[in-house]
Amino acid sequence: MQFRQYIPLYLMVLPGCIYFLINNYIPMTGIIVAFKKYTKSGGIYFSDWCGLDNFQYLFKTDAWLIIRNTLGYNIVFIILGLVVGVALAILITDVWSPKAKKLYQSAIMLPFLISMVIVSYIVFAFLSVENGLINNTLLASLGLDPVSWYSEAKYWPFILVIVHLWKNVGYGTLIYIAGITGIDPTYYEAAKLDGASRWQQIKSITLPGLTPSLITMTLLNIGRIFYSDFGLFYQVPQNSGMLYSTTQTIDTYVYRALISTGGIGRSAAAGFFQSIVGFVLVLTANLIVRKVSPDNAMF
Amino acid sequence: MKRISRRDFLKGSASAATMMAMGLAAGGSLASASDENSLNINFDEDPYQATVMYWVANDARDVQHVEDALNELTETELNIHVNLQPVTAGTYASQIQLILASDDALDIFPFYGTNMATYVETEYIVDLSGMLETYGQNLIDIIGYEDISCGYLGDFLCGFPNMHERTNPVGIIMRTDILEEVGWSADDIVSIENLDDLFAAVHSAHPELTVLGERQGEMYPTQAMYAYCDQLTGAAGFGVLENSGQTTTVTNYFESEAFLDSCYKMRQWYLDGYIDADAATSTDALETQMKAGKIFSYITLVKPDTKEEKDEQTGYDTTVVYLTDEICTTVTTNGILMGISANSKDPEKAMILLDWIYSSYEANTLLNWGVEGVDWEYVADGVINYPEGVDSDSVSYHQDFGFAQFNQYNCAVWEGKDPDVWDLYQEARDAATLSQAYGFFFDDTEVINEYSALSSVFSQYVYALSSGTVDVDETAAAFNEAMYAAGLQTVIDAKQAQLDAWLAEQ
Repeated sequence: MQFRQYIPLYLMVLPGCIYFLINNYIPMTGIIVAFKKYTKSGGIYFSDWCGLDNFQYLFKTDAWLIIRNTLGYNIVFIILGLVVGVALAILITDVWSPKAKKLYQSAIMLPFLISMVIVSYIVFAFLSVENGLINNTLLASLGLDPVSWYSEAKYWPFILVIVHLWKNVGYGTLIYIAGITGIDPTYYEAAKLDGASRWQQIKSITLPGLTPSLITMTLLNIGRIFYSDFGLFYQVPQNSGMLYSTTQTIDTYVYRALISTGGIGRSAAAGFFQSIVGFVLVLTANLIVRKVSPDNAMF
Repeated sequence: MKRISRRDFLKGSASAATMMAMGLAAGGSLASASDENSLNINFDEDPYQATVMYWVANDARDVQHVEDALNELTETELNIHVNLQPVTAGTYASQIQLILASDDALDIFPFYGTNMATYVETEYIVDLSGMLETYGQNLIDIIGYEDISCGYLGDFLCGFPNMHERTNPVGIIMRTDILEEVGWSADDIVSIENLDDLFAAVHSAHPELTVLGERQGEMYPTQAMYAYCDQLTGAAGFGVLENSGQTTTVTNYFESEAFLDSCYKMRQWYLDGYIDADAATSTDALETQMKAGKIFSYITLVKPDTKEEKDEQTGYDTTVVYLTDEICTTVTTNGILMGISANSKDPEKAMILLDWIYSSYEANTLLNWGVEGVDWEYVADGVINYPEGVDSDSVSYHQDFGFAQFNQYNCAVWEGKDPDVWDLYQEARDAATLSQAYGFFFDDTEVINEYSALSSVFSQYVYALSSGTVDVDETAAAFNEAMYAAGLQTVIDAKQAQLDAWLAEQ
């Protein structure tokens, strides 16, 4: 009886399900090519099995360094993206003039829309040894020696974090602004009447109100924790070899390794490895969320 | 041997026998008239639909009129209908893998010799060795057995080398105006060593200029590897035959005196202020840097008509001086191969077509310059230019990309180029030292994981090291250590074993 009642609703869901099945789930079977020695006649499904051969190159050299960089940068990006994004969102929502608010919002969003290749040249304008702004203006006026930025690996964790935040923080900020706008203003009025300070209001109203979007954003980011922004790690350091110890991530390694001798199987192996790690991390993160605050867990 | 010029050849004054002996192309209509009988073409059936992919410099405004003109020839002579698929290098890179893996129509296509092993293993290409004698007579006459052997991987004939230069010595390109200003001429430069004095003179006369331009991939120490070594594969020379390939022992070039000396030289020049501090990360084309008035000279691979090419690209009158001898290695010859895709419905017909294209003056001219009267017209024998009212902006098809197409030796020459330039190419080929491993190509499938790791190590160190911007001893030691850790010895041993087996067969 109940089922019959819901038939129209199921019918409405059907096209979406079929779409996901065809577009997302059936192609997923193709990941078995990561375990195969691909030939054209055999195709994805009937080529010979080759065990874990395709994965070997991922662990050939510096595997630890690559994993450390990929995870390390992403963890820092997630945490700082959260803190800076929320801070900026709170500051912007507190701007009184609607015109100024729009202006700040757009200004902070703008870098997000710039191509990474262009960003890499903006960074180069700052860091170039010969003509760069920092060496020739800042360090020179302070009486410091110029630095060859593109051959000193130790500076790059900071440079990359700054560039990443500058470019990407606007997107998160926009979502958090939407979250803050959604909080019922009467809470703030009541708090003000009771004499709550601005800081107390943020701590007790804004942050709890934002928690669902914070958790969703974080879980989404954790799912991509084993992927890195190729443009950021390849273009921005100008592909400088001397910086690999702090700029090499799994995506740049796979690119550099496969550019000479490619192969469907080995590309698939890299993708498979990234998805599995991402999948496991999402499950773990969700498990922790469920323990801490069951209402906000995704599943 | 009597030297015949292109013009003589086109007038038909040279005997056919001499033409063959010179390795030049057989005339289009003449040769194909006799071929038709031997090929037994059945003109009663529907024309075979052949898809021909080839490299072009730009996306032409109109390809259809070129295709139509070509089909007038192929349909009457071979009963084949050609679908042209011109691709720029960027389009090719992003699409070729998908086309090969799918069942899209593709008969003839160009590919890099480096990819032979992968393509054979994944069954992307057809073995042409069985068809060579039957359908490849023109190819044998034009390319020659010796150079065709560079298209083999083991017994599998992957493709035919296109007619680009067969030897890539290293030379220096300099701005003539400044060279003369400091009182030097091309004859004063004997080797890389006495560039010191020239660079010092240029540096003091023009302190605002970078004396020697560099960019990733175009730095003397790595370029010199092409000129001094047979790399045995296309990939960055992990294990090479040094001494111009006049040895059969595979060694690591990056430990050799020749390589380290060239790095010390760059380091010295860098410390003397001749090299830009950002050189190791620069990717701007050196021609562009020179055009912008930023550099006096740069070192790159050269060929007989480099001067004309660079004059046009840089906007300056340039002087080109060879710094190394000329050697022939498999890697240079099979840089670009023309092969037949496994997607081909009828590889034999594709082979007939491929053989015909190499031999057809009309076809090569069409693919490179477009249609006579529309895109170009004769201004002299074998020399062409834009028709009246057409220029480089309004022309509907104009590539100037002969080096990457089928047979630029058998193609009309644009006005301003030396019509005899192909004779010079042939002379350079004949005069060059042949590597002892000429015709051998390393099958890298057994060491593919080592290769990946080595490629990563290579790009980590080599640009910084060969640009002169870092200390040589320290970086070279770290570089070699990392290479051995990534499995260099395994690759060298595998190369040696394959080479020994190949030598034993010869």
